[in-house]
Amino acid sequence: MIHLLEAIGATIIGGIFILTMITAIINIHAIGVNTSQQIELVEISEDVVSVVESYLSLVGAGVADSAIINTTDSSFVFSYADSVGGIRHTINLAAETNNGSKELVAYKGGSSTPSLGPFQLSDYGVEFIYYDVNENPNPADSLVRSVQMTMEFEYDTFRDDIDKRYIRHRIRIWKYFKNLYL
Amino acid sequence: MILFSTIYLTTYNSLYDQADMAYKGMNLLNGQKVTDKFFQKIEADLLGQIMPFDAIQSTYNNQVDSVTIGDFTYFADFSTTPCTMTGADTTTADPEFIRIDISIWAVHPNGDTLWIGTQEHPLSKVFVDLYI
Repeated sequence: MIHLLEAIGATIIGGIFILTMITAIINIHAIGVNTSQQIELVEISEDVVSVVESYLSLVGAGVADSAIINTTDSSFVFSYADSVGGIRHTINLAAETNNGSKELVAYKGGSSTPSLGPFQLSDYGVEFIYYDVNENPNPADSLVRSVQMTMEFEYDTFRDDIDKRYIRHRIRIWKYFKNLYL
Repeated sequence: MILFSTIYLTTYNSLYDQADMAYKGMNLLNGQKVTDKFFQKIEADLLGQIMPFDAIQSTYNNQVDSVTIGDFTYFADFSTTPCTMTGADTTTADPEFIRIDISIWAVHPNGDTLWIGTQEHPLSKVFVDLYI
């Protein structure tokens, strides 16, 4: 009888030990997946930011006036032309809310189809801060010469077998509108 | 037990390496953006003739600036050097080109410091006098 009890006790202790180890490994694996996804999000964010910067490089190109059309802390509307005095195009770069989540999109002209995006953002979304030539914030639209754009990308790393977590990456860029300095 | 311990330690090491890569990658990118901001500002000021080319050296040489993003503060140390069009040092009194070197480092409130461009290997850009 004593041997049977010893065997049962050893089995229980061993079982608990093995379960603890397996749980620890699964948790570490989950964190590892999230970290890996975080690296991927950073890489993707960089790609998106590169495209956003190329859009912002267009501000005021080929237009003599009214290059900056509308500035808010969550959207930026500007214009550019294909050539000096050529056909004028309008770009609306904004954070939109779609099904409760924020997305970064860019619309060209009056199109309702995004020319860029949508890219999933966190609740933080996008924040634009505009500066004049002397780095004073929030000037009148006609005096804007640069913008600071902060955006936070988000990715849902949900997997049934391991974890549910949102990972985020906040990145800040600055763009001086060279065309408006000329 | 040895088997599980080995798996545990190997996985932990791999995880630490990944976290370190993510941490450095994120802040390296932000540091480069900060440096780009400084370079853009100088370019715009030269292009708009807000700052004369000759004033680059007196304005930026040995200047220190900083930008805070989230928990990190990025410090930038500027130095300017008259140079040729390829960026090589020159001693010309009235240079047509000036190279600006920025060494930049990020400091976390917990004291961690990440160097993004060092004094030996700075982030550099050559500026030309556009209005000679």
